[in-house]
Amino acid sequence: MTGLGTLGVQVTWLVLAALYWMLTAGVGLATLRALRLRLAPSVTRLVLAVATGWTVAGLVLFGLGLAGLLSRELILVLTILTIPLAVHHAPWEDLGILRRFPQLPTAARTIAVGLAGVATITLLGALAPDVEFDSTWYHLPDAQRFLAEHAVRVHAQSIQDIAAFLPKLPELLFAWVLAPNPTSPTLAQLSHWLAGGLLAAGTYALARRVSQPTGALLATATVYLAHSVGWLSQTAYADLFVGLFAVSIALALLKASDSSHGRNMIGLAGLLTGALLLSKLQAIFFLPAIALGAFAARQRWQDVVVVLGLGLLVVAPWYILVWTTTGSPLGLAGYWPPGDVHYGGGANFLDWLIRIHPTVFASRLVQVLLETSPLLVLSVLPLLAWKQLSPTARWLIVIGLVTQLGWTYNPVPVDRYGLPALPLLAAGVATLYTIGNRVIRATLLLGLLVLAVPRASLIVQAAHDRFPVALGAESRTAYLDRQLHDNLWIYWDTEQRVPKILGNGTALLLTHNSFYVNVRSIDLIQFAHEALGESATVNEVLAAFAEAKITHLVHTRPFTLESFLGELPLSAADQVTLRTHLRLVYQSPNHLTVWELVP
Amino acid sequence: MSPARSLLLTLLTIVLLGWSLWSYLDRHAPTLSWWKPTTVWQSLAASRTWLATDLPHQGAGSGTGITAERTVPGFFLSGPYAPVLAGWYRLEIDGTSPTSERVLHVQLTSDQGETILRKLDVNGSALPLVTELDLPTLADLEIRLAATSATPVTIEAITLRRIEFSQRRLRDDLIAQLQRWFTQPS
Repeated sequence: MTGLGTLGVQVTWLVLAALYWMLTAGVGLATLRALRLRLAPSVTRLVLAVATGWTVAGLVLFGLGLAGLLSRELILVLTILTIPLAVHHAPWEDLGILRRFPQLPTAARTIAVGLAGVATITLLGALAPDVEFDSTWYHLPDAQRFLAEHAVRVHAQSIQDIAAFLPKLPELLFAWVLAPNPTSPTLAQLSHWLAGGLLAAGTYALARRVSQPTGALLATATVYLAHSVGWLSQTAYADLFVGLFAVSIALALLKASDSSHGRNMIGLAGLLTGALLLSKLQAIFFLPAIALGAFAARQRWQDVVVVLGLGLLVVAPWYILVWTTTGSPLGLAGYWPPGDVHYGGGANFLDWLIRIHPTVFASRLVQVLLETSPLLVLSVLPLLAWKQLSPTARWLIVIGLVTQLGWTYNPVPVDRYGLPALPLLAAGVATLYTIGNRVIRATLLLGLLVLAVPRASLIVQAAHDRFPVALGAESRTAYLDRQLHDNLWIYWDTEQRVPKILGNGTALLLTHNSFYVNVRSIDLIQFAHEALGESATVNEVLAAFAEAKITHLVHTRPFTLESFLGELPLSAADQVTLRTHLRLVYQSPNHLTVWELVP
Repeated sequence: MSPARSLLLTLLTIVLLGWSLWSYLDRHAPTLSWWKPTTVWQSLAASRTWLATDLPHQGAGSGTGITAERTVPGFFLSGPYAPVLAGWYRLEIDGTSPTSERVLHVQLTSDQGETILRKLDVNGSALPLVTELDLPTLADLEIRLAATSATPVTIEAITLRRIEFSQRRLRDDLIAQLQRWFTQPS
């Protein structure tokens, strides 16, 4: 399907995505009103509404998953039933801020138009099927598995390795949008794109507390042009949800500090802390910053207890589930490979913390800021004019630094894990713009321009490859063929023949990234662990295959039949015997290999 | 704000922003083809990335990298034979392997492979590898990789990022070089 047909499909996805976004915001606004948080229409309210909507939706889905009720049908029925509520609470008034655009200064309007351009480019990029590693490895396959199993389960042994033990709120939200069609990643990518846009909007709302519109938009651009935000906006990862929940916590705490309904806002901040913790394991490194923010809001230690307590309460069921399944609250995610250079060379986390971290944190701090968005390095400068700063600006900068410091405690220093710090540090840049003289303001705008040219060119370069499929000039199959035909890790059936070969059969599958698997299949490692145990004979294996109705063995590159058989709990001699029950029936040009089980 | 404080803030903004933008452009330079035109500039560059497919190699090449297993004799990937100034560096070997067992033996050498600076054994689960190195000034840094497992390993790129120059060693290297020039028989 090419041309108008594909374009029609893309438009359909966009309409469906807009419906989901409206539902999320509507559910969020209804929740805020239920919590007696009647905020005036604003960017802050919009950001809080969507973050709250996703939190509520995620927790409902989590509950359904724990109860074994997470079926596509039930999700769709509940979604449709929510439409009237969402329409009633739709956030149209909050979008009214766009009417203020003509009144903005020229510099602010220029930045806003530039940001809208970047958002459009990444939106087009998000319409191309996801071919990134983590999304096709576990973010999207997890969502598919939740829908297939009607449950949220922890499979202690599977091809997902440690990813199986990471908290799953983003994957539950992906399950929600995958319910209409579990084989298409587009709605999941568009959800993540929206999270990126709202991370930027939240930054604007935060920076407006300390700066005028131009300074706030400068801060927004600093975050939205950050190196990782551009490509993440086009994928179905988890990091932009983490960034959005973090900026929402900051906004809720700021509202708590100056509103009459501070207690309920503190409660909302606790709920959002739970969403943050339920989105990424590494979010625990930001708890000190959240505690500091909770205290800063009303200078009450009780608020710290409420925010952290609620957050831990929300995330507790996940870690209890992991604990009851594996015997450890972190499962394999807490495993520390001894002496592994990937983990900085420490013998264990404590050794790394005491011996390695003090020697690397300073360089890590600077390095990640330089790599992410160089304007952020300036966020500390306003501290030199401490007396001129408002209490809000002081707290934002200090908490931003504590958040960034928290990121350095990740043994594996990946820049996208640090997104929660960016809006706060960007508020520091906005503060500098506000307190600075004309030379400083001009320098900051010039700096943004220097940053924007290569960043924008890189984003265009990255998205350019995706434009043909996004605009309907290339079919999705042709695009995936082009992207995946020589990919070693992502399952892709180049000739689309495997479903015909298998018919109604079921494949025992060994592939690393399984999102584009197009046949009924069972993960080999999971099957070997759960159905066969520590050791088995050939006859026991064949009986287990028959019981699970397995008719074929399928593996992709770089796996081989030997590595496939090696995953079964068989002796070397039994592996040779089992080999006689297998007949090679197909090998695709990209070495997707199908073996038929024969008596 | 007092005029002196305002001036200080202005100067710091200009200097810090200039440095950070320069560093940023430098780090992301591999994606900009017009950047880093000379060898001298290369040795000053804060970050350099070499695609595995661009380096001398044995093993199966694909659009995404070079794949090898232990049946490939010797080192399946070597290079980039790049000039390096003394300092503290982060070496990143971007690759993957489906196994957690030991899959790579890595050697860092100079003097056309004669001097071995460091050896590393890497498990599949440790990929992509990130490690930090204290390097002297080198004319031809070689990073060579041997596959040590029956399970294939795929290497996509090697990146060397400078964390900081070693000023003392650079000074010593410069003095040593000058001494060599002046004491070398003509």
